[in-house]
Amino acid sequence: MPLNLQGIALDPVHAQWRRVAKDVATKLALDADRVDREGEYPTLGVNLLTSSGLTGLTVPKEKGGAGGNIKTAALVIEELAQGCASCATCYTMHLSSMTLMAALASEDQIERLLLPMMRCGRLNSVAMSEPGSGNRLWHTDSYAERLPSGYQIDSFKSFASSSGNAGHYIVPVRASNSVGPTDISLFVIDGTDPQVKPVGRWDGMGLRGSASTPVHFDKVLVPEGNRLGSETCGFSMLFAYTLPIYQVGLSAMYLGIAQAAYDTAVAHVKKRIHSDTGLSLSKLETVQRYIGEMRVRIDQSRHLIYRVAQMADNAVVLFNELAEADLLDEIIRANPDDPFFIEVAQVKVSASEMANDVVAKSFQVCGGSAYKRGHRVERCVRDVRASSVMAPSDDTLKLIIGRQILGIEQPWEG
Amino acid sequence: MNSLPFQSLYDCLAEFQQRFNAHTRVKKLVVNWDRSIVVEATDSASVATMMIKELHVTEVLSGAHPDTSNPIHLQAGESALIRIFSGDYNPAHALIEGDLAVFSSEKDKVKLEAITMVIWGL
Ligand SMILES: Cc1cc2nc3c(=O)[nH]c(=O)nc-3n(C[C@H](O)[C@H](O)[C@H](O)COP(=O)(O)OP(=O)(O)OC[C@H]3O[C@@H](n4cnc5c(N)ncnc54)[C@H](O)[C@@H]3O)c2cc1C
Repeated sequence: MPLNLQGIALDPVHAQWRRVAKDVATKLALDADRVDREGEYPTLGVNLLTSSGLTGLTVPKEKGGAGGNIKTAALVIEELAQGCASCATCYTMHLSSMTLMAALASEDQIERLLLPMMRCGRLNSVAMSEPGSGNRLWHTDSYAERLPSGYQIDSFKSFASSSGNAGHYIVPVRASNSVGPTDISLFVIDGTDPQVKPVGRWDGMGLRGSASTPVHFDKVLVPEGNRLGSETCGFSMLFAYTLPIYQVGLSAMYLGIAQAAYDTAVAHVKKRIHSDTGLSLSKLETVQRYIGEMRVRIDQSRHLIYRVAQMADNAVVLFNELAEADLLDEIIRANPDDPFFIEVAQVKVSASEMANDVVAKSFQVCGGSAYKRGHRVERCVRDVRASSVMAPSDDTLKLIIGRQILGIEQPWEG
Repeated sequence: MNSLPFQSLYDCLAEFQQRFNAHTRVKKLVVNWDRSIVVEATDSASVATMMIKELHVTEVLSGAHPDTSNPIHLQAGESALIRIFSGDYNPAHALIEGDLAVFSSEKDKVKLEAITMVIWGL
């Protein structure tokens, strides 16, 4: 019988990008402590992402990118998060915008916006969350106002990673004040526009370099040419092209944080020797059990992430086919809680719970050392805590999954 | 398992033809996509060919039609095929479950999946 590696083996392109990411992550790690301590945006890291070609990772080659897919992105983000989770957060948001850009950008927008986004040395920010709806990302209060020459956007977004540092912001708002919350327009707003006003300085408990402050788009004038797709397609397009990579990307990031904590814990328990017994922590059954449990959870989660990433890649091919026939918006609106989106919801909940558990166990076996500022696991404890509240929060996702199974209308329907 | 809604694969495909032709959304997907699709049961002698031409399933023929070049070939157990074409079993799921085999170009596979999405749901 021949070897059957289908579905298990990475293809050489995946492997190549993972090597690139590993190399970048090693360099990110050198600056990660400072980024965390000072709450500094990882500018050096962003330069590395640009020079290594990672900023255009998921953009098709014919549109000037590297031609990678969501599975490639998951592999890359997992590596980057092991080096610097703040940088990986900003990169995940950047990639979440790039699949959308690649799918919707017109020829003119490819030249004017997409190509510079890959080369300008800055990441994109996706500013979705609003103070009113919080983690319920499907609801947007703010809206665009039509002007003869384009649009005026007055929108306050409550969190946006890379804010104040982004080359461009992708901003979803309602198409006008007379349409419902799911008739969304998507705008690309230049980061240098003086009416883009980040609020304060990010001082988070973790992911301290992610510059995730609120940002006020204060009556920003946006030309018509900076709207992506049709005026009301934004909701469907975010579902089709942003949500899958965003949820898989965040999951891969939590996986990377968990892996970093676990690796640190394994090294620690081998090295730490009690003077009274002359034995290392690794000889204790309790510790062996923790290590085993962590390994099981990490592997389970990694396989789910790869599986959903692969499903998402297949879905993108289908979405493109439907988009070509001008059917995508209607099909997504007609299938608001399709099982595919439920898989996408599951993957983030699973990765988030796994990572919190693994990091907590790593912390436990590293003991007092891990409680001290500057310890690798101490940073993981703070970084990973964002996972369950980042939108949609794990609680919300579980309700969405349950409603789909039970045949109950989703909150964004009707 | 529920009893099958059709006695034969041919009857089932004939009914599918009506549904396909009445479906306005699916028409947008089959512009310039004239194909023949051979549907073959692996556990009985049932074989039928569906001809898609100018946005319609124009004919359902009994057997693998000899006139067709490079047809798309679908293989499954007869009951699975009947469940699929009567709308009970999403072919995308049948594919993942190993209940359905599709022999075609990659481009045609994508087209079939997209048609599936429109007719059966995602
Ligand atoms: C580090 C970091 C980076 C971020 N980056 C970005 C970014 O780049 N772009 C962006 O748009 N946003 C970003 N966010 C925002 C984030 O995605 C969430 O939108 C935000 O954290 C929600 O906070 P909230 O307090 O308003 O949530 P709320 O909606 O007030 O929810 C608070 C809690 O209430 C419970 N809850 C709320 N609704 C439900 C429900 N329907 N069912 C069950 N339980 C519920 C949950 O336990 C939830 O955790 C970031 C956040 C963080 C922490």
